[in-house]
Amino acid sequence: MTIRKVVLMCVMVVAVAIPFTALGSPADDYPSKSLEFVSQTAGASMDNLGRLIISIIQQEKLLSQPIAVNNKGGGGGAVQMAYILSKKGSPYHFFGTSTNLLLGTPMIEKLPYSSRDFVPIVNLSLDGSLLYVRADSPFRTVKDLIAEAKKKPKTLRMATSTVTSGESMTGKALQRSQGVEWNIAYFNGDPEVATNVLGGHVEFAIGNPNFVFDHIRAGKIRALMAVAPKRYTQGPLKDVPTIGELGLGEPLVARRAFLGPPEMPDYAVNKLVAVFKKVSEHPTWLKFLDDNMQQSAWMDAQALGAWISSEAPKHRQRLVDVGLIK
Amino acid sequence: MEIFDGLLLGFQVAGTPTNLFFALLGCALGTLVGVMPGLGVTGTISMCLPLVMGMNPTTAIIMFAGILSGAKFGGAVTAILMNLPGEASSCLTCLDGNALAKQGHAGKALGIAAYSSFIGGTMSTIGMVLLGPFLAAVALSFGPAEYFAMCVAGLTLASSLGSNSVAKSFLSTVLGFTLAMVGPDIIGGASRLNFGTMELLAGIEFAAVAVGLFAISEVLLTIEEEVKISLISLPKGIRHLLPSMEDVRRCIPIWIRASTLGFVVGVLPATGASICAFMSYALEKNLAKRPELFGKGAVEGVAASETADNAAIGANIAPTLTLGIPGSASTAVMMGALIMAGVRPGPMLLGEHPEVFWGVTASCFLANIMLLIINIPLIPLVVKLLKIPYYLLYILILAVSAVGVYSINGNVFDLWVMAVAGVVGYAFKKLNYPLAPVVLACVLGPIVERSLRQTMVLSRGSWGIFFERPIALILLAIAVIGLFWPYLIRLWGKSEKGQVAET
Repeated sequence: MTIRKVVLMCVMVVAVAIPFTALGSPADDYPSKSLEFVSQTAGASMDNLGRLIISIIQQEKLLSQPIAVNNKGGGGGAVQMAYILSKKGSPYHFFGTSTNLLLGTPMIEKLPYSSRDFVPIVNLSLDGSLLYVRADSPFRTVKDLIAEAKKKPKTLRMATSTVTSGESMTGKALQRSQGVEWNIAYFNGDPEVATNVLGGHVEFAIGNPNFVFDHIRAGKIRALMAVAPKRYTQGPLKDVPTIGELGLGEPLVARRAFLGPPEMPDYAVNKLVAVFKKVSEHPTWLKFLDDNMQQSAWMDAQALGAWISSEAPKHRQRLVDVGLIK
Repeated sequence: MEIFDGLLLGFQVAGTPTNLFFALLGCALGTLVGVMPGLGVTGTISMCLPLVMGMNPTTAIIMFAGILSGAKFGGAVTAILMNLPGEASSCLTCLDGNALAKQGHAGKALGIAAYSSFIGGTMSTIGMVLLGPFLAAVALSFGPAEYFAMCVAGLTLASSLGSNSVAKSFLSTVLGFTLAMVGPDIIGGASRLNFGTMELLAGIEFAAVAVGLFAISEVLLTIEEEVKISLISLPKGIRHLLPSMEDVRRCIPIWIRASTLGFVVGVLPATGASICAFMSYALEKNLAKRPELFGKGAVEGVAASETADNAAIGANIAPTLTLGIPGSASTAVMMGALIMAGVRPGPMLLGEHPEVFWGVTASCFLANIMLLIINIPLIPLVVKLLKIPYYLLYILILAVSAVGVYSINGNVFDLWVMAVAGVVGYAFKKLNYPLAPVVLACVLGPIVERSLRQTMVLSRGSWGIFFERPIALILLAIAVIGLFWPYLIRLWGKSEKGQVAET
């Protein structure tokens, strides 16, 4: 062979090989396309939280690719979880949910999956709820409410979020522990819960403080009890006793966790954990927690996974106790 | 007077160069977004959230309001030209608008759509200004019982939406209901009618069904008719490209009625604009001198749905700002943006941040005007699209449909749903079954079920609640009347308005 042919062959081999060097392993250039954050009902607390985190990530350029938000709300998280399951193995999808929904919905609805099918990423915060009434209500304390409920069983009406939320379970647990019975109406998200109290369609509600804080400040709504480990510090909420102080039981709070689809690759999980860690220390995030009445509660992937495993049987027992499952 | 002070402040705020620019940007972006099915307004607004961080909250909301309004008109464009609904409310515009386009009057349809959007939006903004606080009270008095009654009334109107046979309309409605039932039950989470498949666990994507039923079926029909050249021949001259004074005159009473309806119904959180458009269309059809023209190219049809649609936007924004309760998905995201910017919508907003409320209101006025100015000159250009030979145009329609539907969930299954819906829609059109009731039932079905269950809890199991609550009672009465309306008319001997015998 002539020198020319040899050189030509070498050039051809190199030319063919070059594109292949760009491939690399997926872990090296993760993320190489945009990610998708699967959220819940648009405007609900989880949705606002998720969107804020994403905007912090984009602002600080913590990830080289954008994150799109996909709202898949309803069914106590079942819609969202079913969707994520269809994205098995993808490093580009993750979802945010309340751990009550994550643990509870599959158990209650006997769905073909459970909280342990998802790959845990992080937990950033937890939030409790408020038991509140309209300002013109005759009830000034929870004791008043319970006394009335004892006098008139199955008469009082409570509005709350979806059936597997911490709020609704607190309502059911209270019924059990106090030996009273009231009617519980479930709504598709906290905004509707607040509207129904303001409109006088129900006597009281247990719901997220976020949507009623302004109404409390304006004197249109009165909070009777805070379902949280410690009191809220914002404005008029300072004076609201916690469920623990009132001796009415354990605070059932919702942890806001982020998880990925089954078989999500480790390199994706680790990258996201690192990103979220930076978010958890960002001043915008901390201000958000304060503005939105949430409390910081960091758990990385391993800690979250361990927590879910230990919490699952406890949660099942809780559900049995309140009669949501047999 | 307080309101005028507020408006003055609002126009000052809205009139700054930055805000004007962002309003324009929002309108343009919105129109673009509306043209593509699937990529919804909510998605666009949430994608703009990162841009908005650090921006003045008023500017951000001004841009969002522009996007909302622009998207409505964009949706009308594809509905009229390609029978491609951008969202539920555009389905009605498809019916008459596309028929008009096929008759060579696309410009008329687009023009009426643009005028209607402008008038609906402006009237509802005025309503928002004058009635703001009163609106909030009305919105709150609507409990589950009222929602149920209203949605039932809406569903019975389905008999007016379609062709001549009431039975066929109801069959379509039932189909829509069934489709809406697939997937998780909103209150309990139990998934239904999913045949054990993972794909159906989350339910059927509504947009896929709508696009399939309207756009794909139309393509199939036209292919069958072997239309080889351009779809229609465009009349010469600008005069024909815009609505005539006669058309405008006919639409004026409709504009007034539809704006009011859209505004009143749009105020209610969680009903959204879709119901308003359907109700308005059904109302106008019943009131029209020649109802049989509806669905075959009546500008009144386009006017009714587009006006109510845009009126609902302004009505949606008001309770979001003054109550802190989002009226729909897109306004929910807007609210989230405001909270992030440190401005809490709610009863304190007017007191603490009046410039936000009034700035948004004033900018809604401006956005509507801007949209009219942008869109009218575009109509002659856009209409030229129909000159493309059909064998190329239908490829464009299919491509835009597929991309739009896929972009919602990234799910190939949705494309299959779209295809099947296309075939079903084709069959429906051949057999003269109306399509609009399917869409209506898909949207209202879940609300009906959910609110009935909630009502039963709140009434402690008593059906008497519907008699105790005046609003619910009135709405149910309207529903019953609506159900029997065709028969009542016949009974009263007004045979020209009555049912045309099926041939």
